[in-house]
Amino acid sequence: MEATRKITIDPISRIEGHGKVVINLDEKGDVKDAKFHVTQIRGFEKFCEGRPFEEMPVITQRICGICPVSHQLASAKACDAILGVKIPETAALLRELMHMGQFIQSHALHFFYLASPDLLLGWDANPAERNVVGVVNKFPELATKGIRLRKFGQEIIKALGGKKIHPAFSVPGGVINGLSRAKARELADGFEEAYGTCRIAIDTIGKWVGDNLEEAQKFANFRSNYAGLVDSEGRLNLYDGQMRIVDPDRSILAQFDPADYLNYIGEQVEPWSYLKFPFFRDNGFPDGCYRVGPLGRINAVDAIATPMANEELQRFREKFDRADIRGGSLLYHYARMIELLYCLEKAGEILKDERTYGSDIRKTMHPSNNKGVGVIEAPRGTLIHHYEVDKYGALTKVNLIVATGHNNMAMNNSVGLVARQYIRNGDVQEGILNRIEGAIRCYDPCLSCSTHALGQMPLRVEVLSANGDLIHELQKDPEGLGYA
Amino acid sequence: METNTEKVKIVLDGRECRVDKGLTVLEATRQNGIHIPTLCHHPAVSAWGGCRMCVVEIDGSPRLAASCVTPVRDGMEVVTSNERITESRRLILEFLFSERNHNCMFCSQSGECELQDMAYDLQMDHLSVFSSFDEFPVDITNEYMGLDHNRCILCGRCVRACAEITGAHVLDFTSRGPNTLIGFDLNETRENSTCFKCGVCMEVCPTGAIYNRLRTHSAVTGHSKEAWESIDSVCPLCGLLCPTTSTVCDNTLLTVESSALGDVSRADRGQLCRRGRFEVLESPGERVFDPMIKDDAGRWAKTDWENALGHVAEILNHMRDTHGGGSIFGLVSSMCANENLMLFRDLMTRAWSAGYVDTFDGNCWRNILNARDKTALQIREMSVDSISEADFILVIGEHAFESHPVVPAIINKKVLDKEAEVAVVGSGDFHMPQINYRLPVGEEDIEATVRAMLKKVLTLIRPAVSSLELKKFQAAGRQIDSAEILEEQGLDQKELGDFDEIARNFAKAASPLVLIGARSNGIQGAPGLKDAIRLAFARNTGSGRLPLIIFKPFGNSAGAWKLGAASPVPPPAHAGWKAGLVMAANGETPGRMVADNFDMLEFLAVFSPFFPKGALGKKANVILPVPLWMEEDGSYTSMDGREVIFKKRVLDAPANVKDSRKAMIALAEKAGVPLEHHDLNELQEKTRVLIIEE
Amino acid sequence: MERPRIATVWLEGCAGCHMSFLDNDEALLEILPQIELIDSPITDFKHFDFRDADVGIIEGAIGNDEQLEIARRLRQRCNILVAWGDCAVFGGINTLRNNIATRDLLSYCYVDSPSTVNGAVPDSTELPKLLEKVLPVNQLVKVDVYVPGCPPSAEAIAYSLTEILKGRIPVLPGSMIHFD
Repeated sequence: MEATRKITIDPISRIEGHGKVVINLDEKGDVKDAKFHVTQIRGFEKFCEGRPFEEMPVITQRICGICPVSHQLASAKACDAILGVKIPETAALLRELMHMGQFIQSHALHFFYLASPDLLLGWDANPAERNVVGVVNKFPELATKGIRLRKFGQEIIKALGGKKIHPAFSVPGGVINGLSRAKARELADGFEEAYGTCRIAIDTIGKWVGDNLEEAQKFANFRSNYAGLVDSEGRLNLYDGQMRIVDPDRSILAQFDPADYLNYIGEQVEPWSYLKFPFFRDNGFPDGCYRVGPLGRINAVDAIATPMANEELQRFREKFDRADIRGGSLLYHYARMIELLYCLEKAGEILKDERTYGSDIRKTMHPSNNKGVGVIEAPRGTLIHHYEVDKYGALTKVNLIVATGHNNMAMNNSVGLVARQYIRNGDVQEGILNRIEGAIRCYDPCLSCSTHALGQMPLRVEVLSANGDLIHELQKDPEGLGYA
Repeated sequence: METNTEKVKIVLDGRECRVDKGLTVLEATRQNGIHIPTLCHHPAVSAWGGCRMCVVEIDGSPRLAASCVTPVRDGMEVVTSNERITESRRLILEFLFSERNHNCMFCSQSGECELQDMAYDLQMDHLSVFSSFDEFPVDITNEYMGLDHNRCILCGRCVRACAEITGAHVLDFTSRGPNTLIGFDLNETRENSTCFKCGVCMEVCPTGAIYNRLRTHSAVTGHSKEAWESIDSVCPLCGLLCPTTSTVCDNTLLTVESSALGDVSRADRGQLCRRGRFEVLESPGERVFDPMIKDDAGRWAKTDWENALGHVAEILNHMRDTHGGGSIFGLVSSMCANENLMLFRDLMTRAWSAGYVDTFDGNCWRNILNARDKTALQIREMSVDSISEADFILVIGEHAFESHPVVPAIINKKVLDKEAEVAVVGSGDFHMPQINYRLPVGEEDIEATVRAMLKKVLTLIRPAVSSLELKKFQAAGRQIDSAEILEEQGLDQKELGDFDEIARNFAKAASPLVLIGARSNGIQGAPGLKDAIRLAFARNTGSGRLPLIIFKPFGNSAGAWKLGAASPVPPPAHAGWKAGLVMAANGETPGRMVADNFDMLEFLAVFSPFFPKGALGKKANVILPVPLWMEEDGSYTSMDGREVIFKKRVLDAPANVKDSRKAMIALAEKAGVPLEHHDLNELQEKTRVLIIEE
Repeated sequence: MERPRIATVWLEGCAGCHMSFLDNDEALLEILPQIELIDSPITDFKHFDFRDADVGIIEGAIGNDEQLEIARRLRQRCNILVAWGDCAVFGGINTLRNNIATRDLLSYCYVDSPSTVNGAVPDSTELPKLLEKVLPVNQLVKVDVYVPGCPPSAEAIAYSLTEILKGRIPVLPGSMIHFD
């Protein structure tokens, strides 16, 4: 008889990266602890040393194939700071436009390709079908819309950078090329459909949360701080602004120039993960847990600057801005779709702005500072690139804190909560394991980003005995039962 | 061109061809429209035969031959492409890729790389040989150019270009085997080496090894080079007016390259300099996009053209009517095109009878006028091309060619090729390591040294055409011991010996030439200018041109001076100026004598692409934004004043920036005194006539 | 090939190649029904078993012992092994670490970096060990089809899959090869 077990989910699929979960059970078969291990490290922070700073926007975007634009922009902003330059208005607008394209594609990817199988097909659906192919088969019309929405975001990126993934566009001091009015008109044609799809997504998730209120309330719901960038009026800003950290009741704990991040954010290392654990220094570790990304931002901001998204935000707040549900991880999916609406509105605004078509797109100059910090909101949360250079502009130090990193503690909390909720007396079922993954998936962790440092994160659930022996390693197979 | 060169018959891929004897197989195939891939070969430099990409099969020989160094031979049968040749080329490519870390995915030159193009052409979709991943150094000690040895294929194009085109010989191979590197002065960083950053090595580099740090990643996949436009123009940053090809995409200047690289018929062999290649890519100041008026608090506020022009015209008219034209001054940059200079002069004199109109470099012009009056000589100079024919070059001035970096390169190369001897009076030109003689006197001693040189030379020759004045010097020179004067300048024994030798060689040279550096005819004065002119006159041939080139500070100084934009007299000490109009082109600042008069100024308007700095910025009340020089057509005058060269616009000006000519014409209209000429062609012809017919 | 069983894995890379595959957009609706995805980061199968795989696809280079194991197993069990992207084909950007001792790399990231507090190099046995050098797939196992690019274009990926579906071993035409 097995008194104790270890459960491993490896890899956690349908998240963009490499990770695994190990759950330790006690003698009674209840959860003792559950850990989300990030198992890869690639070493960008170290191997960029010595490279010319002007290459960094193109090197660091290779950290992630899902949000390369975010890395490129954070990097370009750090390089701007090294030049000591304020980039031309047109360049800033074009960068923000590309960033909106990035958000649209990434949020659409997450919702329609990765999360929708859980939401539309159900947690307990046959794993063989519980993926985008399954959604395509069962909801072909919706799947097509999702595909086309993601494509719309990618097309914005391509219109500016020439290709959809790893485009060369933002450079120190500005951008490489402008946007022609002809291309802008082509993009403008896509908005109507995009708004339509976004509306469906918001309604779908709104209804889903409404129908599953109890689950939303119970599922990986915990108190934490929240963080994100805000503009000068405290509104959502994904491209620039001050970093704000709020407490679990949404009161402001700190608001600061992100270049000063080191005074506010520390990173704890745990021996069992290649991903570090950032925390808010004032609260220390592990109390300084904060969440970033859609829910982090939505909870950190006062309002949204665009009308339709702001209206959705108000609607969301009426229902969910309550102490007993605000921290529910499933709300991430909802918050994500509100942001998607904001991004569509913002992209539309930029395309209508005359300044977008200016010819002054780049300031060309030489480094005047030996340090630069670039911070941006990536789809998954705040992204920090911090560079130091010698007098010639060669990198001497690189420090990166990526969105998924900030959420590392929160993801571990969530995994623990879900595991405790669904595993009792050693009773472990596939759908439950999928819920554990689902908890992680709420945060849309981008493990290519988080493994910029090194390593791989397939997601595996292992069941470990009380004395640490591996008893079960979860194996899912298309036939249904997930583990042996 | 029809020549009588002997022909040979060869067979190229089964086709019989008659080609010039003496050609290489590569040249013969290219003339016959057959493409052979090459890497180490570049048309601007000599053939080397190093990379073996261009191998062909000759007369069925089992050994493939490098076509770039194999001369054609009568009856030769050449196969340029078959499976064996393609395999050999692909293998070489794979070796090149595996030897170093090319990492195209973040290379700044990806998409503009001959190595990469070749890999695509040969469908090299992976490496069958193992990569070493050994790391090579990166030199980014220069702000303009990076050298990443990881991407270097050791083709040696840069080494040959550095030697053959610029004569600098800074680059060469260092170490051996797989550790071979391109080195600066054998083993220095670029910044600490004698490299003068002309960028010719970068222009010929086939990969991303030597790359432009200011323009990276412009051709990465997705950025179609089809959208790029190449525009031939000239560089007006100095009076050499070098021919350039500017590459532009989306109204952004990507690169400036030479449009005559390796042209051996030119004295400069088509090289460009640091200024023309790199400085043009930098943002020299904060650009002005709309007319600006300074408010009472001293802050700039946007306005429209109508308002700005009306305001300027109204105040200048008012000043003229109240205080007279003498209260108004005008100042224009000699970077401006002939047409702009003439319009500016006309605008100031006709609209407001301005009391004083000058250029930023007016002092230099007055130095020359002064020298002309003192020497009573007609100063008609040689063209820059005449450096090619000179066999003895006497350079006068400290830091003679800071503003004309191509000149020392031309001179170095001539010395290396033993075509000329060069002597420098003055110190500081580190870019001329090859010169034969140097008298390292300070700026304050140049005058006396040149005077001594003149006297010494006059003891040695009888000028073809003489003057009373020269005879006077000749007589004086026989009595005075020039060595005595020179000792006062602190020259040592060897330098005194050099002095005598310089004088002797200058006196007996078949084609001597005197070069006066721009600093020696500067805003602060022109030490030695008069005697340098006399020296040239002493060796004149009676052709009407003196063997003399006076280097001028701005790209169109010669035009500005000839068109009368510069004042013949210096600004008075207490001019009593109340108002002024300035046209700046590239962040110029006025000299002290002009700025000293700014105290009393009540109103200043500035035409400028950038927010003016210094005294101008402090005093300006209105800024009228005009295009950058590269955003405007216009004609420029060669430094000898004999030729008018059209400079083509390469970029469009921002929307609300007004063409400078249109802005001046509109301002004249507002002032109620319309100017006559409107059309560029008309203006061009008018200025051309003024410049050429003199 | 009738509905080939395809396994795709993502090793030392950034997911960009998988994303580029998804960039086939509407064409996915035609491609997906023609294949059977057995293991893939975009599905929920997690064996890394690759039983009866016809085609194996690797994105990413090989940088740790776990990745090496996965690559070997996939090679063993599939008929055609495809390398997607510059990392799998050439080693890619990851190889920038090849001249840095893994010890130094880890100690910078987990001890010396400016935001790290109480740093120590993670050493749990749950974590794979880094190889001294990151290597392209074909330096460790045999590869049949190469689709270079960072990432390869959606068209190049679709082309290579379509050719395989037609029973051919594709070689990309020059116009579809790019390394950036």
